[in-house]
Amino acid sequence: MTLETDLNYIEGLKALKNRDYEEALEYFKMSQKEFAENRDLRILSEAVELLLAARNDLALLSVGENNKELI
Amino acid sequence: MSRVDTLLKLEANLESFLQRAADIQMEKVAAGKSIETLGEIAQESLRGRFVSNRLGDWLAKNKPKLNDNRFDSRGLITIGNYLQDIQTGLDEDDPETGKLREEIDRWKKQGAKPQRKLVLRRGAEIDENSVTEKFLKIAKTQFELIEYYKEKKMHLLSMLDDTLKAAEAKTDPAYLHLAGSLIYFLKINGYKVDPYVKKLKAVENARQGIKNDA
Repeated sequence: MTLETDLNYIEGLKALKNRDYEEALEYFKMSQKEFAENRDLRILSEAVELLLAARNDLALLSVGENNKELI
Repeated sequence: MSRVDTLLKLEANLESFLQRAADIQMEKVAAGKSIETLGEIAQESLRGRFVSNRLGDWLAKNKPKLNDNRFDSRGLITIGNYLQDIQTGLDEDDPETGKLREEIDRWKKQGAKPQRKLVLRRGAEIDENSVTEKFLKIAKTQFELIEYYKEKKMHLLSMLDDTLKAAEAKTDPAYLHLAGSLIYFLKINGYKVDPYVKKLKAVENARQGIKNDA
């Protein structure tokens, strides 16, 4: 099976286009072998993780600000 | 810049990067699928089936991808190899064959050049029409066929079955030679080959009949 025919990888790309980054990451993890061997794709997968981490941090900061307002 | 602003900027840039990267990767997937389809057409051709219509459609549909450089160098070599496989089996009686050959030549000029691992070089002293030269030509075709089947991970018996079908449908003697060679190899390795020998003889007889009628 080539990367181009790996259904998990293709589904991951579709999820990426739909901006469903968590789902994309799940699919990419299922294609782990191909991603481990391909530097470009590893960057893609890591960029999704970074984006999710940034969003998580933003959410935490937002909760912190709300708590301050309540106090 | 506050931490929130930094994170918001990071989020926007990563989103932009990922959308562009997804577009590029999707294009690669589409190119890869097209090459797979051409591989299927090549396989059908090697089995002696009529592929001119499918090939014509494939060439027309994928020309924009060729013109837009959507195929990478490895992909172009694979396309070149498949087109060469198909080209040898095109039906000369079909009026479309000439147009297809011209189109294939255009693809070659744009980079879809075949590249095989083995190149048999002819010595300067060998006469063009010598028996040795003829044998080398057939041996080279056989080698390419085996390489092709090997890439498809086919068992020797499946190779033999396919080769006999191709020998039945095509005039190239390489198929008959390869079938004979495979039968001999399988026989000395303990396989039951009687049905294949019968089929080979039937193909030979049919071919002989065609020659005698001509």
